[in-house]
Amino acid sequence: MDVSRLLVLLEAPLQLTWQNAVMMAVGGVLIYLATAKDYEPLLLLPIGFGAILTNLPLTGVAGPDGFLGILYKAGISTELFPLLIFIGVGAMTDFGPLLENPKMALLGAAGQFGIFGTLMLALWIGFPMNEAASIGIIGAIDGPTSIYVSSKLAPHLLGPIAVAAYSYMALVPIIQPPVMRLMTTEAERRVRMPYTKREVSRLVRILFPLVVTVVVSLIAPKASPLIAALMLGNLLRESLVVERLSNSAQNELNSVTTLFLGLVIGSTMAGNQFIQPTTLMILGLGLLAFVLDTFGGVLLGKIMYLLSGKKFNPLIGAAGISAFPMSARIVQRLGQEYDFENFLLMHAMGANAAGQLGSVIAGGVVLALVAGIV
Amino acid sequence: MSDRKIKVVVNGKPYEVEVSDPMASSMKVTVSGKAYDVEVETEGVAAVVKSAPAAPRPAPAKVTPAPASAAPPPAARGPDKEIRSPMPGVVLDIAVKAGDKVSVGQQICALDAMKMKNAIRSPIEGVIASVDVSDGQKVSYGQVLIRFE
Repeated sequence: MDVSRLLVLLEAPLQLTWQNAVMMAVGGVLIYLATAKDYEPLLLLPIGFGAILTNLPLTGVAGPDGFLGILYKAGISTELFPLLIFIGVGAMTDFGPLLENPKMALLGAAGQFGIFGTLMLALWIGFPMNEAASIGIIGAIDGPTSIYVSSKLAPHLLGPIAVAAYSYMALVPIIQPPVMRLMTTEAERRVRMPYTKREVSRLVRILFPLVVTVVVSLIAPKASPLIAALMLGNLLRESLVVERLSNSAQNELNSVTTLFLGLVIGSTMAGNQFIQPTTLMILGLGLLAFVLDTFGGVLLGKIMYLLSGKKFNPLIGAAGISAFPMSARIVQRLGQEYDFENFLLMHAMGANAAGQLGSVIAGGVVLALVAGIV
Repeated sequence: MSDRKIKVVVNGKPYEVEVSDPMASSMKVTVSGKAYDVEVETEGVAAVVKSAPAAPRPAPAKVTPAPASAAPPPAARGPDKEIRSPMPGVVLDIAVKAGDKVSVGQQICALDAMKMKNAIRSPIEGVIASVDVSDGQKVSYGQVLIRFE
């Protein structure tokens, strides 16, 4: 037998670059974080696996005819996956606490401060408008929104942006509390807010997704697909007549899409494209976006504290972001740390639901503004 | 714990006071900016003012921890001797039974609300007279969970 034939077996190892090796290690770290630390395992596990797979030379899995490449074309280029996930998110989200307390909508807007703050900073550093907007959208703290916006504006940055969005989301319980402590006094953190009971009728719950879809679509047409998918899911939930569809959206549809989305995001992490100074900048700016969101939310919380005659606990402002219901739980936990009889959870849930809505609308606003410029 | 806000009622007139440590037998109390040294004689119920610069003389006073907000809803907390549910949820992990002596901050049970387990702790020191809920029971806002003797 000709020895040179055996070289075929060495072909792939010989083409393995150090960048490939580094990215496979990164994939390994993501899988470690998912399995050992329970950090967003539903996403980080498939992302990690996708990253390892795509960095194996000559497999072609991420190429145009590979199965990850086909999934990319089918679900990311078309923006289909983020939208399908949003139907599930809408079916999972209880907007009741927001409807009980509509003024929380303000906090859902303030919690988007990081998007615009980071966008400005990225522009100032020298990123072009489409890239700056995609980086800023990490501040939506919402994976599907980030993927949706960046796949439209700057698809070449999708990998780092999605990785930043999802890994920082897992770190929200670590990122938020120091900012919240820094910005509030102990007396402010101790402000007690008794539960305010208000029954929300079924009619209101059903009208809410319809009205939001129509109003937001009219104001920010670019946000329409995102908000419509989110609200469709919510309508399935609140109508109470299509429990099967609601459950499917929350479970099967969401799981399948999350699996595909994770794998495809992982497949964008090819070594030669990912290992660049830009990636580090994106990761840094993304972290800043999370901090600025918290800052903006708590700042408005403090203003509401003053306007309400010190009856509003400014910690709740931190929940005006999209990480639902994680952020509301952080507020509850931090509040109880200073006064174990203080239960801020339901108020924070209202702000958190508003943040979910706010991030989607902000994503649409960014798309509309940038589309007009680029 | 430091600087707890407490509502003190003297002859029907309420005062907002700040207390350094409500569980210490001798505590520093600030009423409208004036500092007093207060000694507690019986389990946080009767208080005797040791050195007061001037009136108002809050002794003997009924000490009731109250929400800091000016107008707590009637259901938020009973006048004294009971723990009510701070929000709708499901009661879990009941850790006490009638006759148990509990201290301030001791966990009574957990309340699962919005898929989050929240610790319900005792605001006072006392003996439990009755547990009015059972594990897994759905409770509404303001429902009595525990009564003290």
